Amino acid sequence: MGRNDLPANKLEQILGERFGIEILNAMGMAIVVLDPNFNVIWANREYRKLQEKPEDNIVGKKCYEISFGHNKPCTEEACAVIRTLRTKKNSKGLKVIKRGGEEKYLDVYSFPLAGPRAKLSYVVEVLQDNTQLYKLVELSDRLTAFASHELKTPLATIHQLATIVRQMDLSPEKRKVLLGRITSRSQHGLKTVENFLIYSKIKAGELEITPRKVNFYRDVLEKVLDFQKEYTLKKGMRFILNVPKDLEVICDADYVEVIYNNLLINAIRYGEESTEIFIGYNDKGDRYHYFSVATVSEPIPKEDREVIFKRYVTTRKDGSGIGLDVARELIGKHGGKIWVEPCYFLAGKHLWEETAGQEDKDKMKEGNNFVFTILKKLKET
Amino acid sequence: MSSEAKILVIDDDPDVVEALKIILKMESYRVLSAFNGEKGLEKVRQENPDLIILDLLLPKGDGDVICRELKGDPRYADIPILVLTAVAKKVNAKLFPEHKIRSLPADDYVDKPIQPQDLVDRVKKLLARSRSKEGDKI
Repeated sequence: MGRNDLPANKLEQILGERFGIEILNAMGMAIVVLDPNFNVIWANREYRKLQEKPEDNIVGKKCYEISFGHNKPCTEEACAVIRTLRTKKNSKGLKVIKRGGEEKYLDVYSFPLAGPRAKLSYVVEVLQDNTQLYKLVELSDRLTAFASHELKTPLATIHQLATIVRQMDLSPEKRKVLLGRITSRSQHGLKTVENFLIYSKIKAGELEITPRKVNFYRDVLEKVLDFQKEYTLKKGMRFILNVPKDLEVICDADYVEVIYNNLLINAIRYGEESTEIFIGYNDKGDRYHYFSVATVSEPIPKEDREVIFKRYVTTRKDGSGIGLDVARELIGKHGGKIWVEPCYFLAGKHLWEETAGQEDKDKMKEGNNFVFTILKKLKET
Repeated sequence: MSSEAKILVIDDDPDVVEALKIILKMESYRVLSAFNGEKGLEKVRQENPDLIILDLLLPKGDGDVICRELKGDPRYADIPILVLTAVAKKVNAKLFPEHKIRSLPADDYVDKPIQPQDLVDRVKKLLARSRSKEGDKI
């Protein structure tokens, strides 16, 4: 012990009991003292806050009533306190409670407090809210699953096509067709990897765009349409373009290409066979360029129209939920927004919801129109 | 039933459809295709194929539902159905666990990636069986 150190009991005397309680209250962890019948003897401020009962007198109430609204104790498997009561040893566990409609993940540590004659009198339960940490781990697991899922499809198809080329005695023409498909599917696989790389850059806050004035038709659309052409043809779909050929836009052409590719992959995947994909442009005379991709497809329900742009959200069982999130982030970097609205199609024409009358709507095919904006006056780099 | 038998491939991946077309056409089969469940059923009703090759994970009506629907309909129950499985069995085990696949009323199963000769053998066997059933009826 150094010269300036005080013995613990001396320190307690000087500071007093009140000070100890203040320390426990000041800690960022929830602390509760329970008797062997699970009654609360004392709880610090953080515990009351966590249980959303800051003003209530929770002393004397059962911990399982407070945490879960149950009328009987949890199982030993689920409860660190019960284990401590049985073993008289420290224990730890995980508790998941619902507060404000959201799940909270709490790491729980319980410690035995011995009374006179070493009889177990109380259990101290310390709860640390690690919700963010658990959610991050969960998100990371999901990302891995999604990345694998997205890459699985092109790789499985490449494998399939290569098996045929290798095992079958094909004519040079057929061999050429299949090798062309292999090349194209590898390119799609690469685009998927690119999406994930962009995604990780976005999440690390490292994604910078380099806006330059480009001919939108030539420098963005032609490249995208060329890349997607084969897929549309395979499904008997075709593009209808309504974008001025001389349109100049200040944007990062590479990233806008990614935006379009992500929208078109969905349009082709979920669009009805043998229909048109409408690629449009609108200048409403305000600060934004308006771009759109409309397809005949099962309408996205109203309640899903916002959430589909959130990370990992997909309403389709074969989707990954990353494409639209990446598109939204890239559009945000261009000072714009993205949304989806219902639309209607009649005899090769695409109509907006507001311009299609109810009578017409009954005769028309329904679809989805993805609209995104880019700020007109982006600063060139 | 001759080699010109009509085979309907229901799969949402255009490249897989293309691959199957190449394999089957080399055996002189007539190959039709549909890219989703709904269109697949439509084509069955329109074309009354001699055999169906069916993927399980499909937009607008999963393969298992289609398989049960067709086998439960006396008009189409005799059409042999060959289910494509491997991806489902190993990767999408949650959606299509193996016991679920094996409980389907399908006539045979083929693992992806498809081995061309294996597919051709299974198709031939199914068509021959179907042909002998038809013969028995006559």
